[in-house]
Amino acid sequence: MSGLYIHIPYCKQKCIYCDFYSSATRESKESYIKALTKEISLRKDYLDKPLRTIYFGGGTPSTLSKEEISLIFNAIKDNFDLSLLEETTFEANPEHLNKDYLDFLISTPINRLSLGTQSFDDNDLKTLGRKHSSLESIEVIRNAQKIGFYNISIDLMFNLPSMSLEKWKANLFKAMDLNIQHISAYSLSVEEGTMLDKLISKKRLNIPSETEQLEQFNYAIDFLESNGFEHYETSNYAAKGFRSLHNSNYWNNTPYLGVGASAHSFNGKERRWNISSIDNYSSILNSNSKEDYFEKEILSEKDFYNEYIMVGIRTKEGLDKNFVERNFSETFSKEFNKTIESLLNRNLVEKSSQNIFTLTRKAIEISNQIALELIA
Amino acid sequence: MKNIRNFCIIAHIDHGKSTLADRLLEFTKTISSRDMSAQVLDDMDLEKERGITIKSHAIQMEYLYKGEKFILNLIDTPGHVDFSYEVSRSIAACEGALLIVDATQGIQAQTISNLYQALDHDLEIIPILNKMDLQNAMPEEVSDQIIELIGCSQEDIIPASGKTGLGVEAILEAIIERIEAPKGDVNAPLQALIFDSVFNNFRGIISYFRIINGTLKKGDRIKFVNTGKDYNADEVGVLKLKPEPRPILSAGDVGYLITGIKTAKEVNVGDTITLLDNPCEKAIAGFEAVKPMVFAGIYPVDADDYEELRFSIEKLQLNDASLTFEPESSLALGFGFRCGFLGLLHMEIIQERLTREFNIDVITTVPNVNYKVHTNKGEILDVYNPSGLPEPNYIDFIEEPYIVASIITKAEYIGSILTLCIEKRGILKNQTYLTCDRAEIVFEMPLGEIVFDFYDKLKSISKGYASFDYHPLDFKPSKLVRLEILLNGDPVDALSALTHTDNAYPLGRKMCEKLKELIPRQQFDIAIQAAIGSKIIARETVKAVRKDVTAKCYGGDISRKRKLLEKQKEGKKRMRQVGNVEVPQSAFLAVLKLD
Ligand SMILES: Nc1nc2c(ncn2[C@@H]2O[C@H](COP(=O)(O)OP(=O)(O)OP(=O)(O)O)[C@@H](O)[C@H]2O)c(=O)[nH]1
Ligand SMILES: C[S@@+](CC[C@H](N)C(=O)[O-])C[C@H]1O[C@@H](n2cnc3c(N)ncnc32)[C@H](O)[C@@H]1O
Ligand code: SF4
Ligand SMILES: [Mg+2]
Repeated sequence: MSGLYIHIPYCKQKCIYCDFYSSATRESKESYIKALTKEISLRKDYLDKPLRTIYFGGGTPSTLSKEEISLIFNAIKDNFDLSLLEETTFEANPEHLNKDYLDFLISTPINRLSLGTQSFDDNDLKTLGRKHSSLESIEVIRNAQKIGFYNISIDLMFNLPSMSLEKWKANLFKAMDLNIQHISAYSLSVEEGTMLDKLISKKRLNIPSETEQLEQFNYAIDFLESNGFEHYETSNYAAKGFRSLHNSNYWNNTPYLGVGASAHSFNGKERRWNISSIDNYSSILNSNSKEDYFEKEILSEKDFYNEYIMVGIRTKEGLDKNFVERNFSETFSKEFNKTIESLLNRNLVEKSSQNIFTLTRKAIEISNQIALELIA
Repeated sequence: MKNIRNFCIIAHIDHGKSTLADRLLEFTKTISSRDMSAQVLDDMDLEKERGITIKSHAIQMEYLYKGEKFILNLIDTPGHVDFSYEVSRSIAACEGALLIVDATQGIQAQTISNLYQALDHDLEIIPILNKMDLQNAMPEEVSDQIIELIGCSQEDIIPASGKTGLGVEAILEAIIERIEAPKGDVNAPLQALIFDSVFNNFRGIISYFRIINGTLKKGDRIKFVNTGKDYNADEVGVLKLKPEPRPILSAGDVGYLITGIKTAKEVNVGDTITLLDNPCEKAIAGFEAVKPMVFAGIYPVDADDYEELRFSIEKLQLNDASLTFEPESSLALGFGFRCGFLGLLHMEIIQERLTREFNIDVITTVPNVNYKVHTNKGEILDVYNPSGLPEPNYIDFIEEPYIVASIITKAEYIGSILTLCIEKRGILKNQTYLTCDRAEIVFEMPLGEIVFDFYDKLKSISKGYASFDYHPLDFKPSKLVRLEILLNGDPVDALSALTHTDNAYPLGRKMCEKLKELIPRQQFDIAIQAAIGSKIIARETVKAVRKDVTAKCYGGDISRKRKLLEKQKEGKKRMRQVGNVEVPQSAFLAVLKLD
């Protein structure tokens, strides 16, 4: 099985915390869509397994017009076998999903919505530079459910400026009222060069202390688990049967093809990433130029091992001793066993079942440190 | 022999010795333009990168003068004070010296000290006023300084430029006309002085020598007088840009010898080479053994590299007899070596060469000088390592080494330099004006105060207009205490230092602050404490990492995250585990980075 990722690097505005590459001007969009559909046909043989998931990510895919979405789906249908397609996710910002647009989306293969709700507090939304209200988010979810979207995910952020634990709890309670199936709960990270970064260094905004941050993280885990959501990856929670299949590709070595500027691909051996400039990407593809629009890297055993650790340690599936022994040479498995032993002794990992090791609660908070101990 | 001239080039650091050597080599066509590069004799990468000469380099030139062919053996020497022993050995192989003075800088501290060394060996001095191409050259003023210093006449001084080649022909003429040909008896038994040696991976040890009397042929059975060992002269030859074999060399010649010796200890620079079956009567007076001034532990980052490290240090010692070492062990760092260096630059260079040339990551511990500890029983112990200090109740008193420091500077900086020297426990001995705005200040100071940041401080308060030279003086009693650093309660021997009582508190506080900066946060709190005996005098805490989790979506971009993590891991691997604390290499030298 395999996945297809389609990158839409356009946003109507720039949120103050966001350092994802995206463009707010849309002049280049027409040629970008052309290049994108071209890349789809050029790379149809990149994956040798049928598609199971498709993911429209961004930026903001909901800046696409209905026509543009149709163009992309036509290109996909022309080049890929969709008979085994199970999940097609569309990332959207709430302000774009009017009834008409939703009606259109449900008529396409899209069967999962990922909504950038971020917070249910209008003050937060305003501070962050979001263009929707809390009420709009709620209405969009209701409307989508009404017309038949039964797999809806929302993005929430904690550790927002001035966010108290109480306010974070309120956000989580609200989410539970909405009968959604999946939550990505991200800890706000202050990226260098963003407006958020500037405002914080000028002391115009204050983020919660380390202690408060950990409280919010831990609260989310406990609360969501007690409401039937499985904490299946550091930042992801799903009702039973509703994990994101597509994102799980990234975590379990399933090949995926990423099209569009800055999109990443993996075919089991190499990783590729397209150039991030929209203009260069489009002009190379649209001009039949021989120039490469991507860079790539063949993975060594060490690379594979380190990725396995790095990604596995974040999931509920954890790290599998047998898998390591079967797939990597002895130098790796020896070190693995030794370090795991030491982590067990320090109560940083636990045996969740025969030969499977997962992080203990206190270790989840420092998972990068644990990965650092384990990688080669 | 009458057509041989042996000379060295001496000067204060950066006055242009190596650059002028380039011009001589070029003019005499010793080096083709194809092989030419700036400071061509500085062949180590480190020399090129830092733009300084670290080792003396010998090279032979041929020059046609008034229809006669002359052999000119040139030795370029380093100017930095740490390497002054290199100068002294080169001087022993020569009859003359080019004393180079930068016309924009004038006489500096090492101009004087190197000149005195050359005069001690009765070398003919040819004064050269260099960098005359520069706008700010001060020929009259600097000429006056030179005349006053060596008592020559104005005509003896040759204006030159290593940049434009000005004066090169006049210099060559002076070398031939003024420096005398080597004396010596070709027919006497062989007597040759080893003035340098280098190690070559393929050929083993190559000795550089100067023949005083007799001849040396390829294939001769030879003997080293001091060690008494004998060898076969597998190859002899002269030093061009590359070594060139010759069947025979004789009195007056400078050349190299290969015998297949592989172990460093067998070749002592300063030893005399003679023939086994026709030996000379006595050895040439060799060199005073160079005495290291600064000591520090060198430990492998990876304990498994210990033997490798020993091997590498031995190799380095071949090129660098001034490096001393003996095994030691540290509770914190395991097995390593206590090494002696001529100064901090020397130490830094050795550390860098180990990494570059031998690919070993090492940890260098806090440097210190050596102390004489007088015990209650009347014994005197030489202590090279603070952790080797006996318990306080056995100690009667401790003596530390003092030096005589000479500083030459402009009048306007004298005030602040005096303040600095007094702060460093210096005692002013003399102050003389060389000209109306240049003075020489002479201080007696504890060596321990100058090995650390003295030189940098001097440079910054004088805006670079101060030069500095020093000589060991003697040992004097001092109030010294051992400052101990503890990590999570355990003393770390590799971080302890001996310091004057008055400095202990501020030093302890600064050490703790610096270590807090250098030791990364780990999964638990790390207490950093400074103590004298059982008394804690300073404390800092490196807080535990409580939150280190990427909880943001990063999608398919796994490569980037992996590389970030791998880079961190590399850093972690280069750290040393002390107890349960991971300490980066840099922390062991924290004491050098205090401000
Ligand atoms: N303008 C000018 N610059 C020079 C001249 N001679 C040397 N330099 C520059 O001065 C600097 C030092 O030159 P070197 O030849 O390395 O000096 P050195 O005396 O060999 O230095 P050490 O061996 O480290 O003591 C270099 O940057 C040279 O380019 C000269 O005659 N004129
Ligand atoms: C790739 S973004 C695109 C989603 C969409 N454009 C939107 O804003 O709703 C996916 C999610 O990453 C999260 N995110 C973006 N920047 C972040 C940051 N600096 N720290 C934490 N989470 C962030 C937000 O929750 C966002 O919804
Ligand atoms: S958070 Fe979403 S909408 Fe906001 S700038 Fe980033 S990608 Fe665009
Ligand atoms: Mg030089």
